[in-house]
Amino acid sequence: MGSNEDIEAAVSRREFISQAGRVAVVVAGTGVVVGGVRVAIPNAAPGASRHVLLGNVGDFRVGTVTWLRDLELFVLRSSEGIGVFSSRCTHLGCTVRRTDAGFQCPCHGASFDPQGRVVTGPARSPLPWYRVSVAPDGSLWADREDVVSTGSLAEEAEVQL
Amino acid sequence: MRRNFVYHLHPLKVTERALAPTTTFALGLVTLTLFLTTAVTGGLLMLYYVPTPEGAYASILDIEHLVTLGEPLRLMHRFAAHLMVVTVALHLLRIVAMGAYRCREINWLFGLSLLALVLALAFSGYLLPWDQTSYWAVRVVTNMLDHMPLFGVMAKPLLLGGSEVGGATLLRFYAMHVAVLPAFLVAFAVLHLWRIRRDGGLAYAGEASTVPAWPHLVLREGVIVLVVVGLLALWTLLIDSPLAPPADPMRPSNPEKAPWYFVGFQEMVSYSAVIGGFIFPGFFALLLLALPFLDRDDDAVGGWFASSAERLRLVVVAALTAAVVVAAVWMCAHPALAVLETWTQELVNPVTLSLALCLIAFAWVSNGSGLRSGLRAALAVLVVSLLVFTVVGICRGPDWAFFWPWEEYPGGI
Amino acid sequence: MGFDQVADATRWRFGLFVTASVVTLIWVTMAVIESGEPWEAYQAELASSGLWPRSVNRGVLEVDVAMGSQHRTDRCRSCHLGMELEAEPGAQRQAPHTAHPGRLLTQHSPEQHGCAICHGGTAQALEPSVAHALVGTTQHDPMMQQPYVQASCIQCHLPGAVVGSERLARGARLYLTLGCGMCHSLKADGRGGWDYGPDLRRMGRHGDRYLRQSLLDPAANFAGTTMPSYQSSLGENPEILSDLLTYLHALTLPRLKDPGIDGLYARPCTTCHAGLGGAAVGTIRHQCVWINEEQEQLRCQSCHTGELPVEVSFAGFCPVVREHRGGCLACHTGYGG
Repeated sequence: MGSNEDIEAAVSRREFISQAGRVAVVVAGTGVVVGGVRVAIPNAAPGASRHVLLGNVGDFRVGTVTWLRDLELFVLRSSEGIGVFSSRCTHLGCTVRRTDAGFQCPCHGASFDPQGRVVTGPARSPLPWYRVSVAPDGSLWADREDVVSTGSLAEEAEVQL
Repeated sequence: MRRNFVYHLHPLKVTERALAPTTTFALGLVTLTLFLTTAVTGGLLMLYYVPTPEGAYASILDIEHLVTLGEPLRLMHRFAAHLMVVTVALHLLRIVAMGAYRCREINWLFGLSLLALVLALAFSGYLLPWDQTSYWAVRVVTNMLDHMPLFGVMAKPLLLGGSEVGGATLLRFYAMHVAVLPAFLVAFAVLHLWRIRRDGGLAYAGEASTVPAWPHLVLREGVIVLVVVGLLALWTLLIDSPLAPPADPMRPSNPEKAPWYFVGFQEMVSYSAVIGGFIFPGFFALLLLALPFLDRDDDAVGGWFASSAERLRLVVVAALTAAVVVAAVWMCAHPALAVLETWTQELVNPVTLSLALCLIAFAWVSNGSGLRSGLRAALAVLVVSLLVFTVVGICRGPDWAFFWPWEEYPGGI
Repeated sequence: MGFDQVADATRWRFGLFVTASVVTLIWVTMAVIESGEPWEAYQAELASSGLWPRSVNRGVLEVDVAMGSQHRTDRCRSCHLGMELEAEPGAQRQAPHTAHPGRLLTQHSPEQHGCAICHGGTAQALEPSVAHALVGTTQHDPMMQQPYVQASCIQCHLPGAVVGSERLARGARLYLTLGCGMCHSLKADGRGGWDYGPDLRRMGRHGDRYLRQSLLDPAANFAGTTMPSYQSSLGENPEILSDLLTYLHALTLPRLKDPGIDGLYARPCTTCHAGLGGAAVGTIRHQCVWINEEQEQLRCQSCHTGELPVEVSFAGFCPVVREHRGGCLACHTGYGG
């Protein structure tokens, strides 16, 4: 038989432990949810790689824009050099088509100038240009994670056709 | 034993009003029946379907050609799934029209969760045939996430299982579609039905005479279930839904369209990615979520709208919204408007117009008919706008040009 | 107005009976529609005639055909079992049991290759109307119509390289002589087309009517086109037109053998012919000097009025050849020329 203070202390201890128990269960449950979501986030992302081989410099004629279908990239070669930009519309990712005035996206009507800058449409950003490098043997590489300013061209050492 | 189980599921008595067809149109039951149909047909389809990019299309062709009753099975699954999206939305509208969410916040949230789950199930199932339509639809919808700040960036790799739509995506969608989402749906459905019982049955403020649930309610339910299943089966005999060519990631289809229940959002996004993809859906979702918390009216619930005056106002609001949005869409296609600067296009477009109409309607109707009617009017504008955008989106063809459904797309055979 | 419970219950019990009966009727209809597989009837027919290929079981006959990037389940044999049996002299078997013409089956055993690899068609299907669907239906693997079946040979063989592909060879030669390659790019990787005419290998399967019209009246199919009409040269010659159409159908088919053969269709010659003057396998080395010497034979003057460029760099490769669309086909007219 305890005194009133003992009973009160016992009650508040019980309350504390109950409350702590509830908190612990909630924390444990949250842990399950957080762990589950982390499992679902993919680590290795199967998909497009960063550095892609576009071909050989000689494959692209001066004064042309060539579409690489499987890489979804345009390769522009002018007398000043070689540049590469994406063929995916910046609105919802559809493949743009070439027109006389540049490029047109068939999906929602966005249009771009011949260098990929937005002219009209629901697209708000220009077609991204990527850094391109020319290896000594003439092979052409693009880095899809290195976005450069529109119109940046890499100068190749010698024009070989 | 059967009677005891049925008694357990049903209340002892129901109101005569609950039995009348025009009270609920049995929408909840129809939705449930459709779910059970998709579950049964889906389970059978799982016996043959192969969830890999290499095997998916061929396995569905085998279901169509080799499996006995395979084609009706697949069609029934598909039609039930699409119909379920329609009936769940109609069911939600019925609840809003009757104010039946009032004082039933928890059940309302369960219901919204069910809506989200139904849409997620429909979308995850859409990818599984791995034909051109499915593949590019999922590409488009996941690309829409790019325009959603924060949430979109996190959600995209989670959905795709990588950086692009591929085998990992298919596997994920399959797992969601056959296991995870159905489990959640069943759980929420059970909770939803339990809450209906706990909240006292169908919402109705007045007194009503009651009759025993058995046999009156149960018989009606039996008939409705059979009618739904029978109509679905009949539909599969009459209508075909052929697969598109197999998915080819290097050959974008033209047009690339989301499934019909998302194509309204795609149409909105074609005007402005932020407003159409983020602000409108976000506002719509928030309004729906907050509805029972905002509505503090003490008006009677259970009738179709508060009064004939409100009904009239809502009809006016709906008709005006439809007309205005259609006109705005038509004007946007007009070449004269192309001269507008792009940033002006972001702000001045049919989507912002419908959001503005929503606020105007709320102000006008709540002024005349009270808060609840005002909220209903706001929702009516959003729903009608979404409907208009969906219909327009369905009519979009190659290059996003407008084609009536009976017009053929250009391109020879 | 009272609620008559008894009447209500009776009414709805009756309603339940009616709907359940209707649903049962629908199940019966579906069962009837789905029953009676055609292949069962055909196999019974063949068995009852006393003929039956050795060591073949009754039932659905499947072949898993995996060639190149294609993977198909081929079930054509389930109905067409009789084709493997020798033709009986003086007697004609009824379709689908008619004997297969020629000796093609000895080289292309249906047990290993199936039938669809040559004939096209929805090979998984067991329903004749579906299996035999042509271009323009909802089926995506249409049958190859006669007389164009030889088009399928191109998936593995050079045109004319094997017996039975003569029509295809004639079509290929027509393609070269009519100069299709000058406008329709057939580069190895298919890149860069659409500048004149589209790459005909990427057009997808088209029906007979569409292809004919594209040749005889292109303006009907493509508004504002610069493609000339071949009505005068081909319109009066149905056989020649058929040959060319065979080759055009062939161009739409995928190559099933080693990708090395892909170069065959861009520069068919170079798989064997390479090097100066067409010698051993290697890289093309048409020297500018040689081109200039052979100008007349190569009929350069038919398009180029001015002088050809003299030797420019890059390991002696004459830029004229490289710049030429269609590669070899632009100058060389065909086999042996």
